[in-house]
This record gives sequence, structure tokens and C-alpha cells, in this order.
Amino acid sequence: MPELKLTVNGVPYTLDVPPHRFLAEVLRYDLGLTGTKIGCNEAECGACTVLVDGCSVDSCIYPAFKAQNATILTIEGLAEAWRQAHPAQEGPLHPLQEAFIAHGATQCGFCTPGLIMQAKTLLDETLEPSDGQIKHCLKDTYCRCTGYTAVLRAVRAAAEKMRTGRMPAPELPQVMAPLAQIGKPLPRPDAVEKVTGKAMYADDFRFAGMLYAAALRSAYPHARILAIDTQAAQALPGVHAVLTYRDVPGDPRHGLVENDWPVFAGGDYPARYVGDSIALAVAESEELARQALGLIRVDYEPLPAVTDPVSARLPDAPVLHPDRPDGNLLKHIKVRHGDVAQGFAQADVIVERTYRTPMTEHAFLEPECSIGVPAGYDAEHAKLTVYVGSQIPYSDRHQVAKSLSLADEEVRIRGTVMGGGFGGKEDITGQIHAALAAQITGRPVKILYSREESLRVHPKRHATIIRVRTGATHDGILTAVEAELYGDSGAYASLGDKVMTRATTHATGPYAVPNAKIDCYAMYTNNAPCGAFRGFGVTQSAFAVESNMDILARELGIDPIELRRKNALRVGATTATGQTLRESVGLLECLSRVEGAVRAARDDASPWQPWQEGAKRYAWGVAAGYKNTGLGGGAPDKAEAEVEVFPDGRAEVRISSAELGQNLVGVLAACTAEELGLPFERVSVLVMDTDRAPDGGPTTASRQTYVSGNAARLAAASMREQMQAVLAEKYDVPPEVIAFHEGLAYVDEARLARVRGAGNGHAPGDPRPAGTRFTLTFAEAVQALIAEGRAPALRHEYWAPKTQPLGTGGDMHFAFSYAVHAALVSVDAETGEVAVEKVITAHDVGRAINPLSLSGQVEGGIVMGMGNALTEHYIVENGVPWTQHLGQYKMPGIKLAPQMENYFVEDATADGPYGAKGVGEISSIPISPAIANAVCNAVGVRSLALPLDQDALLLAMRRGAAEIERRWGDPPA
Amino acid sequence: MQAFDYVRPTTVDEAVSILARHGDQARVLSGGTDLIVALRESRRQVQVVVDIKALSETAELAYSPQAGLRLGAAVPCYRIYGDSAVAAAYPGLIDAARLIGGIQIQGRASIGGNICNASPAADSAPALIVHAATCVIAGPHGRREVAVEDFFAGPGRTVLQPGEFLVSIRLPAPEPGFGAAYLRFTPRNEMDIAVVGAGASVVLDETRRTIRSARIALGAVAPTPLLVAAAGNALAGLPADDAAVEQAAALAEEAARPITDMRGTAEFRKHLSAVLTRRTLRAAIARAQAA
Repeated sequence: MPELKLTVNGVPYTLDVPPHRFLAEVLRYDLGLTGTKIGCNEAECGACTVLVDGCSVDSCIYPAFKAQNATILTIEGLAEAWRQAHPAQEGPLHPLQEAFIAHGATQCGFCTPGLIMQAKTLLDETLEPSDGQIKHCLKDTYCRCTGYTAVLRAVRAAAEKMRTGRMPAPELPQVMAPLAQIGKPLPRPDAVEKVTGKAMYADDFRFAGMLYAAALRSAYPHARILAIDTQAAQALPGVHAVLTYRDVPGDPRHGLVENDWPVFAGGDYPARYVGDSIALAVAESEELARQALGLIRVDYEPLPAVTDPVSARLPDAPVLHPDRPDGNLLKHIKVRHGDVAQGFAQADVIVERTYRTPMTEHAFLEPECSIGVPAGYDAEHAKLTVYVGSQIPYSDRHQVAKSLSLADEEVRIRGTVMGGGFGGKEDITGQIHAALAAQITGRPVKILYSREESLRVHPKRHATIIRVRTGATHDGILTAVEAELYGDSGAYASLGDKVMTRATTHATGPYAVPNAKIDCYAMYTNNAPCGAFRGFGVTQSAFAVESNMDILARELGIDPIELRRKNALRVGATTATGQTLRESVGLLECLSRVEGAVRAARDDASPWQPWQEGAKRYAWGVAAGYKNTGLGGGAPDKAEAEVEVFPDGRAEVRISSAELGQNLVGVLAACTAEELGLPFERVSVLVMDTDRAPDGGPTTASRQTYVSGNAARLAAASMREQMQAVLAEKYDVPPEVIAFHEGLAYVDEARLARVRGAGNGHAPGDPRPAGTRFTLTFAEAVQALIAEGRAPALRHEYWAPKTQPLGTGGDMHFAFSYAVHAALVSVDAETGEVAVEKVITAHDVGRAINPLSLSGQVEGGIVMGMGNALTEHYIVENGVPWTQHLGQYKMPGIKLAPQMENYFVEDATADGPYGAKGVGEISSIPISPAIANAVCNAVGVRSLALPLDQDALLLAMRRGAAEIERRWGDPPA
Repeated sequence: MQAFDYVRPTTVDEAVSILARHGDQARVLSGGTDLIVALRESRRQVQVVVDIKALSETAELAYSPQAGLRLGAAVPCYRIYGDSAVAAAYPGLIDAARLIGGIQIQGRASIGGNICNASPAADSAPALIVHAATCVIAGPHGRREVAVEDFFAGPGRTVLQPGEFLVSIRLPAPEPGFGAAYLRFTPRNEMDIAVVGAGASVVLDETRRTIRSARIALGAVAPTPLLVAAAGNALAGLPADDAAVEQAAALAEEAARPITDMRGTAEFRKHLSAVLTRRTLRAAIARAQAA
């Protein structure tokens, strides 16, 4: 094979690479140009898009030798190429990069290089692209965070900048008047790194002497492991170790709540799903490690598998965890409120249906990656360190330490930039394996999951079966809800108990229901474990509740918004768990906003009536939802932040909460800057490092803006007070008159006047001296603090308001967010094809801390919820996933992105930072039932199952059936 | 990723001899968009990957209104729809070329590769069939030509014999009054495999009101892409109206013999065969009338 010659970003290279090397690998691993990402290795996601001689390709499947003598442009070279071609233009970035920042089109950033490179090919052809052209151009380039709305906005804006020289500002939903930082659409602090390809995700790190490891996965969903023969694998040249359960020095199991998940199956622990690892091969290269796996011989004794939650509860079901008290029952969750018998006796109409929701996959675009670096590797790695993109760094640390028989403090977790999480990066995946392999071999060890492995291993969203019975009076007042839920929690507990608890406690919907009896059975099965996924169980129960509400509205002849309004939670109402809401319930306003906008869009007194154009039938549908902020249920909910100020006038806030794309870093920077009176750019943020940043708790339950935001806010306020105290002493003024604003510290005359009364701030006869007026820079203020011998850093631990466990009454949660979503769908009456044309939404978020990233959370949540409604299903047949490749997991691409009209309601919650509560999850909750309700309004067929089976929908329409029960992806009848 | 050798022959004879020497351990690489993914997923095992993009014949895109189109087997989709004369003459082919994969795929993926992959759902197959295309095959015993509808032997299988490969595809020059279209149904996402695909072409008379001849083809409803000869034959001589369209749609539905799988039931696919035939035939007639 001749050597490979190519020019990348203007630099010529001559390389000696094997013939089966691919361009993405050459760029990333041979040239260190890690801005080009690998998301799937099957040309499905587009994250690896680069330009070869001006033409875009998926470099992951582009044989490197096809690029012989070619000129390659990657994200790293884009800005330079632009500057060379346009010397007159200002700015260090390509207009697309600039627009992706200004318009919020980069969140986790993993797809960003691919999207930008692909969009460039369109702007090379036209500077007046239509949305249709942009969608066609980006049809094979996935983004899981933004919902594509911001991407469309950004590409249009970049074109405008290239045409006119001016970058338009994003048009965002209206919010209340901003403070100095809070309420402004500030670009995310990490945006430049993300749009230039410099952001370092776990797989972008390399260490000298690094080894690679890969895990052997169980061939069966349930099997006893009789013997593991690793001899041949160990003998393979280049293999350094083959580890099994025998090599785990500490706790053989891990788990976020229940300690039930073996580090390796084998010995006492059978394989309980096909993602269980049995052995780990550590070798000089990933290829060798995977080759070694093929040489491992495992003797299995296959056991009967239980693959659905209902049969898991049968008395003769095979039991997964014989050491547990209740067979396969992970948890029986109960809500009891009032007297349901009496409630149904008062009802004039009772609706009862059984709903089914699918197991779904997060499909974050960055597959899991962990790198273990052994203790003493170099000066920077005195202790055992794991590089990983994780939603719960401190929990990773504890679980790694426990299995390695170390103290927590002997392990350091260093978070990397994360390519999305959505709840799917809370559990342990490769962390313990990488740490163990590093410790045993004494070398850094990287474990990068293939997309197939990612699909097979990490916990999913629970598939559920939900029977709901809802009773109401003639005038539409809910009298009772009785429900039974089955949740498929899979092989290990993960967060299954918590997720299904949330599904259960939210199973009356955002309504005041006087009588409720709800039972939920979270069951172990031999499917993939199920745990956290954006919505945390409420996505599932909201589909059932809101479908029942529309059936009820139809039976009662009441407008669906009116029915919801009559029963909506409001201040003073009591939830089914016995919590009386005292403030911040913006649901009624959300209903009004959406109702007004839908009526305006339809220009019609009956906005839910269908209409027809050609073969297509159109209708709007609506649903409401609510979601707790924070852990709740009596769990201590706290976060600790450290704020440090520097004599050069900067500040840093440190907190080990996870930035997974949601722009927590921007929220933390804004809160800190607001309290210190600093320009936003002068605050840096360090997250996810257990040695350098205190614990922010898990990034889950839409809690970080509230909990970590408060920790940052209060730590910064405390630091400001210290500086005020020092300056007050020095200049002899009351501390509260010293203002910190726009990077200055000065005596505020108005404040002084308030304190001292009228007359130049000094009341006649006041014996106190008038004090010295001063204006210092923030840097000088810090210097004064340090000169006084005060520490320039401090920590503040914030405890969220106390909550109560389920069943004890009182406040189960300290805040709830509310949303109403309306969807306009079209149904092709000849094919059954359903499309979401437009959505109108309103979200009560307490306070919009950053309207740009808030819009991103809302837009992305909506499209993810659309996928849940129409296409997404992680299909499993007898415990074995049919969905093995990304191409088999149908998630929305840009062509399915609907038009959006979003409203923000800011009904402040007293203890939230500036009134804010969570938004991460609520945005993806009501959209699924809104779509199902719209389809029913359009064609008269109600789907009791998700994802909606368009094939079954058409057959139902043709046969005149009113309901369909199968999910798309269920085995053919 | 399994290891393989990569060779890039520069003549057809050289390619044939490499393929003949390695038998089923060699595989032709054009754009590689199907093959590489199959290798990664270990659905195929090969030792030698034979890149045919360096051959002048496989890279040729030559059109004349008299001789028609010679489409090299390795010509990527974007070159086809990027050529305005080709786009005007072969609208059904263009519909398919724009649908195959994302833009990053279209820069490499070829129509030749699409049909050699021999998926029953290959988007280009019904389009080529209605354009009456023929496949030019080179092999150890010289060259031969087969009609594209006869090129497929079953799912993933073609009539190519050991040592043979597809060099080019020939499409006859369109007659006056010609129009064609291809449509597919992929409701779940843009990048999905067709649940059903349908192609239609017509030649209208001088009045543009009567169908002189027609071809209808379906994808994903049989083990191979399907020429529905009965439908095309029935249309000859009929007025280009709704009744004719309905008749063709009914014949297409009758000809479809789909299976039930994750993407759709057999019943649904039969129904869609009629719907898509109706829509694509209407589009073909409209194009013929507009031409």
C-alpha cells in the first residue's frame, strides 16, 4: 500500500496508515483534529461530516485512501479558510460559527461541527436559502438537543451576514425586563470552543502509553455463567490483560439506588440482560481488544428470561434477583388520596382506557467514553483519575472507589465536555472498568463504546402499561382517578423506583383531583435496565392522563382547554400526594396563552375541528403537563458552590454539576456575574471535577438551575458581602451602600441617601463621618480583600426546601413547572402518514434566566417528545434488541421539525434563583399526548399506544375502528 | 473494523482479474456507503475491497438526446442531478438520486452501487426500470447486457457471476411526450428505508392526452424490485385520465406481493402500492404534459 498524501486545512501530510483506516480516524487519531466527531460509524448521524475537495462526506465510512491527494477542510480550518477568502470581513469566525453561537444552535456541541460543515455546502451555493433547502441540506445530520429550530435560525442568519455583513439578533419569546445578566440571551460560555471543534469530549483525550479496552457482552438475556476461558485472548500479542469478576478487588456490584448491578457478570451473578459485561480485554489498540474478545470462551447455562413487566409479576416467573424479598418486584408505589369509591359514585361520566408506551433510547450523539489514568501516572495525576462525561461525577467517584476498594478521596473524576445525556449518562457504564484496567495495567486505559454497545448497554426509558380510570361530573369537574401502572425496569434497578414513583405521583395530571388511588409496579425483567430519561416517568403517565382528558372532554361536550382549566392546579389546590400549592402555579396562564394563540391561528370559534386539503386531514390537539423540579420525596437536595475572585478582576465559580448541553455553565456564570456585578465574560465556570469543584449533586430532575444556580448565586452574594465589608471598613461607609455593578465597586449615592437620609447622604447632626466616596475596579476591590488577609475563595452549600416522602402528606416537591402544548398535525388519509406541522406552547418556568438557552431547552424538548409520539421505539424481541444500530432507531431529523410558537410564563417561585424553576423535562412531556389528541381530532382514531403506528392508523381509518392498541414496532400480529 | 486490502484498478480488465482471483473474498467499492457499513456491522466478510472509481468507464456520465445516457456505475448521485440536461431528460431517476441518503452520502453513493446492493427497497431500481435502463456487465468472458428489472436475483443478490461487475447503466433517449417520476413512502424519518417505492413513466401522443406507452415499477413489495408489466401494458392507448390512473393503481396493488416486517404489514404495503402508483403516475403524466 502506498503512503497516504492529503492536505488538511491547508497543511500537507504524508501518512503511513493501514488500508482499512477511515478518514475520520485519520483526522482524529492520526492528526489530532478531534473537532470531527464520530457518533455512529454507520453514516447515519452526520457528526463526522468534512469536506473532501469541497464535497461533504461522512468521514466515518470514507476509506482514507479514497482521499489520496485530496484537499480536506474540517471544522478546525473553517474560520481560517474564511478569513483568507474574505480579508475585508471582521471577526475571527466563519459566519456560520458566529450564527450558531448567537442563535443558540450549539448545545452539547457534538453534532455542531458536522452541521456547520454540511450547512457550508449550501451557503457555498446560495446566500438566500429557503427553509426547504436548509432542511434538504441537513436531512442526514442529526441533532438531539436543539430540535433544529435554532439550527434553521442560525443558517438563515449566517446567510444574511454573508449577504449584508450584519448578523441579525435571534427573535425569542418575550420575557420580563432583564437584570444586569439575568433574563438576557447571553451566548453560552463554551460556545466558541464548540463551534471551532476545540471542545474536548472524552474520546478527544489521549495519553502517552494509553491502552484500549473493550467488554464482552452476554450472548443471552438471562444465563448462568459456568466458566470463562480467557487464555487464548490473553495470549494474543498486544493484549495486556483480560479482566473478569475475579479481578474486582472491592464491591462486586454498583448501582445508583440499589447496589444490584455487577461490575462483571460471572461467579455469583448471572447475566441478566444482553448488555451485561463478562470480561474486559485491555490491549494496545481498540481493534486488538475487540479481536481478543472473539477468543474468550464462555460456558453459559441459559435461563428462562422474563421480558415483560406483567409476566414478571406472575408467581411462577423466573426470578432475576433471588436475594430480593419480593421476587421481581422492584417497588410497589402507592398513592392514596380521598375515597375513590365515593369519587366515582359522584361521577356522571367515567372514562377508562389502558395505554402502552415504548422503551426509548436517549441517542445522545456522543457514545459513552471513559479513560482511567492510574495513580502516579504524572504530576497531574497523583491519584487514580477517570475522565468521563457523566451526569453525576460524585456518584461515579463513590462507585468507582467502592469497587476498587479505595476511599472516595483516592479517586478523581474529571468531567469532560459531554455530547448529550438526557438522563442516559447517570449510571455507571465504563467508569469502573476503565479505572480497574488502569490500576491493574499501570497505564491509561480508554473505553469507547461503539454505537451498537451504547444502544445495548445503557438504561432506557421505561416501557409502561398504564390503565387509568377518570371520573367527572356533567359540568366537567374531576371527581376521581384510579390507575394501575406497570413499568419495565429491566435487569437492574438504576433509578427505576424513582422514575416510576414520579410516573405514579403525576398520574392525576396537573389537576386537582379529590380522590385518587394509584398503584404502580416497577418490575425487574431481562430487558435493558430502565432509568432516567428526560421526563422521568411523567412522559409516560402524561400520555395516559391527557388522552383520558380529551376522551372525557368529548364525552362531556366540553372544550378540551375549558375542561383542563376547570380542574387545573392553582394556588391553594392540593395534589394527589397531599401537597397544597402555595405559589408559582402558572398553569392557567399557560392554558390562556395557548388557547389564544391556537384560536388566532385557526381564526375559528371551534379550533379543534378538523379540515381537509387534498388527501390530508388537519387538526389541532392540546395537552397539559407538570413536572417537579428537584429530587423531592424527602431526599436531601443540595449543592455546594465555590466562588473565587482574582486580583485581575475575574471570578470563577466551581461546582461539580454536569454540563450536558443545557447551558448550566451559562446559568451559573450569569448568577455569579449578577451577584458580583461583573460582566458575564469575566466569570469562568468549572464543572464536573471532584478534586477542584464541590458536589452539585446529580444532574437530573430539572434541578440544576434551581439548586446549583442558587448555590452559585448565594456563594457569589456571600463573596460580594465580604468585599463590601472590607471596603466599608476601609472607606468608612455602611457596607450596604457599596454597589457592585459593571465591573466596578463604588458608593451608590442613592443607597447612601436612603441609609443616611437626605442631604448629600449625610444628615445634619449625624455624628458619623460622611465617609469617603470611591469608585474602584472589581480588580482593585479584590486586591483590597486580599490585602486585608481575607481568602479570595469561599464555598456555600445550598439546601433546597425540605420535602416529604410519598405517603406522608405535605410538600413532596419544592417546585413544579407547568406547560401546555398544542400541536397541529396532518394525517394523509391515503397512507396514514402523520406529520406535525406546527406547535404552540407555553411554559411556566418561574423566571427565564437566559431566554436563548431556555428556548433551546423548549425547542429541543418538543422535538424529542415528537419522536416519542411518532417514531421512537427501542424494539426488543425476547430480551434481544432489534434496534442494534442507530439507523434502526428512528428519531426526528430536521425534515420533521415543525414550526414553533413558544411563550414563556414567569410565575416566580420564592426560593428559586431570581424566581426560576426547572425546564429541562417539562418541555418534552405534553407534546406526545397533544399529538395523539390532534390525530384523533383529525381522523377520529385514538391511539392508545406510542409510538403511534401509522400503518395501524390507516387500517383503522379504513375499517372504521375508533382506537388502536399496538405500538409501532410491536411484533406483527 | 475487520482488516481488508484496498485496491484501485485503473482498467476494467484489471478489475475483472482481481475479482476473478479473489472470488467471494473481494467486493467492489463504488461510493462504499452500503459496503463499508455492512463490513463494520460484520454483515459481510471480505479480504479485498476493489475501488472502481478510478476507471474511466465507471466514472462516465455521457448524455446525448440521440444516444441517451451512459451512466458509469460509480458516478455519485449529486453529479446526476447536478447535470441539467440529464435532470431534464430523466426526471424519475433524478427523484431517486435526490432521495438516496443524505447529502453527505449523495456525494459518494452511486446508482450502480445502489442496484448492486440489491435491496428490494433500493430507491433507484423502480426509477431505472421505468426509464427502461439496461445494465452493462464486464466479466472474465467479456461483456453482456441485461435489462435492469432482470438484474436482481433476490434480496441482496444480483445476476452478477464470479469475476463480473457492473460497469455502467444505459438509459435510452426519452421519446417526445415522455415523463417519469419516482416516489417512496418513509413516514418515520427521512433516512428510513422505503416501506414502498413506486416509479412510473409514460409516453404521451402529440395531443398529450393519450398514453402511447407506459411503465410502472414497485420497490419493497417483493424479493426484488418489480416491473409491473400488466399495468404498463394496460395503459397503452388509454386517455391520460383518472380512470387510467385507477386501473394502473389496481393492477399494481394486485402485482405487489409484499411481506410483513418491522416497517409495515403486507396488507399496508399492498394498499400503498396502489396509492403510490396513483401519485407517481399522475406526476409522470403531468411532467409529460408540461414537457
